[in-house]
Amino acid sequence: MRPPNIVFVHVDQLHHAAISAYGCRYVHTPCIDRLVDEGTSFLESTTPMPQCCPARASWFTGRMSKEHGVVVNDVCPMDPTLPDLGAWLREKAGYDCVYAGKWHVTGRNVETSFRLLHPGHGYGELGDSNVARVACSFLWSRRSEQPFLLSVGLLNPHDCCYTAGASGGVGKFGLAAEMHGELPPLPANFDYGYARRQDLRVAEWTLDDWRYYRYVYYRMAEMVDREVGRIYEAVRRSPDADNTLFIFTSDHGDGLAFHANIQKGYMLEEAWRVPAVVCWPGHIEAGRRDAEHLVSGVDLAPTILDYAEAPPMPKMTVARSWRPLLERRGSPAGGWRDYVVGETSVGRMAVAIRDARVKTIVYPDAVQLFDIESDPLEMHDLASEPGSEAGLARHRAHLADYLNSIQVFEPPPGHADAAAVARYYEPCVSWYRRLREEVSA
Amino acid sequence: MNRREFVRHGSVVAALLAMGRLPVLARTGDTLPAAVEPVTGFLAGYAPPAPRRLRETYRLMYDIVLWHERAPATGITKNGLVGRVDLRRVGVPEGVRYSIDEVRRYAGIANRLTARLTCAGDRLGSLRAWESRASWRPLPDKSPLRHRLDALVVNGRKEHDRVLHSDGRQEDSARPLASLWSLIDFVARRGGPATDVSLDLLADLSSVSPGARLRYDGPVEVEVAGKRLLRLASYVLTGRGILPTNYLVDEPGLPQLVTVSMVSYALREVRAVDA
Repeated sequence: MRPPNIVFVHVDQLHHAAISAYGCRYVHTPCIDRLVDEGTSFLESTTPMPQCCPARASWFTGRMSKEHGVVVNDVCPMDPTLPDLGAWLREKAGYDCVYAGKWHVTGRNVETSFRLLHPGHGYGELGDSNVARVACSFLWSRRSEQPFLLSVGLLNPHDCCYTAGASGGVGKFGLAAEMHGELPPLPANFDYGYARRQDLRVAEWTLDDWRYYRYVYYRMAEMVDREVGRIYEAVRRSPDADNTLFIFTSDHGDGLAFHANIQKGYMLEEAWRVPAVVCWPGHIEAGRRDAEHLVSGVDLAPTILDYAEAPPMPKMTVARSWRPLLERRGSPAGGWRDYVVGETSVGRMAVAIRDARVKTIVYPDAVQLFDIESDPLEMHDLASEPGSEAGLARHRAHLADYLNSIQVFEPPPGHADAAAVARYYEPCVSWYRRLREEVSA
Repeated sequence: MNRREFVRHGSVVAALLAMGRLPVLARTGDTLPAAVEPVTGFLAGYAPPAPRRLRETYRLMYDIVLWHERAPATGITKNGLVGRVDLRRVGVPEGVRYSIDEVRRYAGIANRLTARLTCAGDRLGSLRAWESRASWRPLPDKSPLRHRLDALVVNGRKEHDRVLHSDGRQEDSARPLASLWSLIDFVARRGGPATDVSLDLLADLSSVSPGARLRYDGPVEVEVAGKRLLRLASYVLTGRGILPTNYLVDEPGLPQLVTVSMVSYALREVRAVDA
């Protein structure tokens, strides 16, 4: 049998738990629920970095942000010498690599790697249904025997950035009071975060405004859910249905009022964790929810290459294929990772280390430690409490291991975006150099 | 919003907040009502058609108004036009038929969706059957549309409490089924302060959002081109998979504005149906 077609559908800013199949009572996502029923979900799935461009560059290169160079949105371009999934699969495995919708990988033109069907629009409300229709048109009209990778970038619920953006946005927050009875409650850790918050974007929000933000966010999640469903249905009814792998995830999460946060860019669970579901009826177990393995968006490239029977791209240092986990072929060679790392360069730089139970967030000037098993809402920072020494020491070793594993991108002299590199990139890698010396000592 | 924009806007907002000059979000009473929040910048130049009562048969031409950003200091949005909708309503023996021709122009592409809706002659104009066709055409100048896309045709019908789509999907729909466009007629000709109906919405002519609610939302006054004051009745549609959507109808019953969030619709012209 020839390698499968691969349909990779990604949404933008979907909170890992904003899915009705996972128990959220305030949202109805029947289409994503269907994926959960028909595929395998990774419940401990995280993004390599909780911001659009860095996370997407990791999907398509199998490298972490300091390796591919995209450390913040839009300003630091990707290492131009890096191969990406589209070009690699086309050249090494003969795939037809096509793209519809949001790309947003700084410094890499999507058309150098994929056949671009439609670029979509930056607003999900304007463009998502159209992008989904384009994807369906491709799936239904395809006649070739050539295997394909179809990557579809849907925007919502990212529109929440505009309805509640720094400039006020277009949110109809005036409706909040009259819709009071319909608004979802605030999360249990809202007060914990609210007492510590300094976010001027929402400084004047009433509690009803916060709840209205959640209400609208869930509606956006439902809107994108139907587009995901439209594409999945087209896959299932296409001539290639039996030989098509379907992958669904999000680039990062959203604050959604957890810890009194909105948006992303930081390492608490609401921003760091993402949904991840893989479906292939007859090949991947249906309805399985894997809460054991720690996976990351950086793993998508090796996973897709593995299924496509293509050689791995060079220097995917920490990324691992999910295929052994999905097909339950016993323990993956060398065992699965026992910790996962995420990082951010937005605002306050941080690197997070998570094992089966404990999570550490390391900042340049502080450390937080949470027992995720007993405190999943991260309301009790244990870093300075007695008994935390063992966890901190273990994570210090993990961090040293991670920093010694990755290959930090060094922009060549005369880099075209030297000013951006100096302002945004250099502080990140300088901190990593210092951190590596500290934790390796 | 990228990081640079975020930092820039964040600084401005912080400075204005410190001076006590800025309502971060428009609230009723602060600036304009929520119903027109997405189009505040558009309204100053908006020349709505003269008020009139709609008959059984009509043709309404709407501009699609896109939100771009909101000026922190004034709270006024920047808006632009990204397309148009041509909506025709005619009576047919089985009830009512709508023809919809929507073109959204962006990214160098004319994204067109045409549809025909067959509705019952009941109070809500409940949807019975529909046909939709999506197609894509490159606009002049640097269109990225380099690969041929076949038009996508999806039809559907409602039978008893089931919605059957020609792409194979089936959905439950126990309430009267409506679309964004068929509700225009309902609010225009049958709306009033007592309006509060439960329905299922065929969102984007593709999927059922069950359990939606359309209710009267009160009067709204907005200033439009020429400093003319427009008195409108607002109806708000809410529900699963629906961003709060306001229908704004003038006193005789002309549906002048439909506002959602990033995308809104402004009535440009009323024509004879055969025009």
